[in-house]
Amino acid sequence: MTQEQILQQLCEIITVNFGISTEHITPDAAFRANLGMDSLDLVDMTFFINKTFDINEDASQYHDLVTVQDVVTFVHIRTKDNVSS
Amino acid sequence: MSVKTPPTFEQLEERLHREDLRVESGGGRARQQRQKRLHRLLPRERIDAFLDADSFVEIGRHRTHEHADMDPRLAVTRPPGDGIVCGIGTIDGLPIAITAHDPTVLRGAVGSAGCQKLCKLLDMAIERKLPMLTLADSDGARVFEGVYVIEGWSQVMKRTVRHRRLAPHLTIASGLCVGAVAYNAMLADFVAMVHQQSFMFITGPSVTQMLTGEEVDIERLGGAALHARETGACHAVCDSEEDAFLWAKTVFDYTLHPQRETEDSPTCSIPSLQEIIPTAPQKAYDMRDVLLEVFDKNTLIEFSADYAPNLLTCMGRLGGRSVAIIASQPRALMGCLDIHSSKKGAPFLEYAETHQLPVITLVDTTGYLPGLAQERGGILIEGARLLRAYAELTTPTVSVTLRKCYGGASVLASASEYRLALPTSEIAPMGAEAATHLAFGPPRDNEQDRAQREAFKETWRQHHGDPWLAAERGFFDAIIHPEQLRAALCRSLRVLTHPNRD
Repeated sequence: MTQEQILQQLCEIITVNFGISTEHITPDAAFRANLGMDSLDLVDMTFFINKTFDINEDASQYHDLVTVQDVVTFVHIRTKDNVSS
Repeated sequence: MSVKTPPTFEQLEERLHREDLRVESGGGRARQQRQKRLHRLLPRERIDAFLDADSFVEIGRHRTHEHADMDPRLAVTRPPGDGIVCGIGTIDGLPIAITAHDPTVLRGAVGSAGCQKLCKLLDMAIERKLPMLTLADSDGARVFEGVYVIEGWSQVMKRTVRHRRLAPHLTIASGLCVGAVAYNAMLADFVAMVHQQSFMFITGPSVTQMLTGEEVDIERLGGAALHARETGACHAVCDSEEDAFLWAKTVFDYTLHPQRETEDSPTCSIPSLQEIIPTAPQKAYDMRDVLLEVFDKNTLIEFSADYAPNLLTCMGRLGGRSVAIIASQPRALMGCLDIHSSKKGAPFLEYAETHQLPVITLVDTTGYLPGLAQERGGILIEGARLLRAYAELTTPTVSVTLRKCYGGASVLASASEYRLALPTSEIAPMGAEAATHLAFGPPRDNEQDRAQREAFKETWRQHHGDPWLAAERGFFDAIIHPEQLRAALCRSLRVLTHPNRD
């Protein structure tokens, strides 16, 4: 899965579940500062990401990911691992 | 003069249907769907999953708040029920009070109308001595309602404390459990949290960061692992909400059904205990293996397993009778008592006393943990709370000393009205080494000192270590063979729980 495809699916997760319109969801957008998400939103988002991309990471693994691109890169690495294993 | 035409029954029925739909849709279909996508239940689904089918009787189903003028969010959010579901239903045919927050309505924050519903429910539960279950998923007090909500929660908390003296109150933290809701859970009896789904704190991460500058993730601030291992606020960590429901039903069962039928023989001997309990006093073993052999099969449930592991707190059944169990765990800190184990044991004993569960104490402890950290941390205060809890027991109490029972920790054996011991046991105000140090001070490097110390230790062991001496002096009521332990406990429980006992 390419980073573009991951970004597209991540946008959909954020739009559908957190009511944030797509024009705000850019790679540089920070979840807290720009998208107005709080800690609980981020815990819920990790659930949706794990489910959508078939990975299994604790919420604490996502703690240092600040921007949309951070998550895209994180998921890209994890899904590559899935394919190679 | 015109006469207003009364509505037709069809019109009334249509309104009824419309209002029911409003109730069922909580904070809106979109939020409900998100909850479903998170694989989490809605409040009414949680209640239905817990109670007997079609048994729920709801109170305040259409109640709304009256503070639309206090905040724009309140003006646009006035769903019937006000974000909290309250009522009475049955489990196994017996009534319990139950409440569930609706996280789709202002994140489950409870306002003054919700508090009034809770007060009414608690009053009904107090009047009838009903057990209560709170299914918490709430951002805490609805702060936009100002002093109205402060007043509301003060009334709820008063009633929660009064109710706790009459019937068990369990909380399942199904999601957020913040501020007033978290405190209310602490005022009640036991709390279960769901792994990676429940968070409990007085303020969340963003307010914490604003007030203190500390950036901390939600799991570290109030996750299940923190409360199960470090604070002791969580008594059970469950993998799912369904597991938490089973946990709550099991805990309620011990008080709702103090006597159950059992096929386990009350007189069977347990030869395996000789293998489990080493005769060498320094050798560790797992007290859980003893409990599994002694108590009725598949009845043991442990509370706070990861907090203060040196003291086990369990409920179980003995000959079908529900009992509270306190047990030293020689595998952790040699079963010593300390601040954490005292904090763990005291409220457990208070619960047993309130609900008249007989208390069985299994003892194998080296004494109180000494040291600066314990003294500075308040072992005197917490240790005294455990002593007080034991002293206030009026419910039947039996202790069994399996091996070591030293120092102040001997309260574990001495607080019970009937005291058994195994032949492997030894009881003394302190161990021989510590007593020698007390008598002679620091060792000196000469032969005479060494000889005096050895002689003192030997005399000490002769006078204090032997359980038969303790029995002759009236401390133990009987010394029994390990394989007779279950039979002896069943027999003593049967006579101590005589129905005419005051």
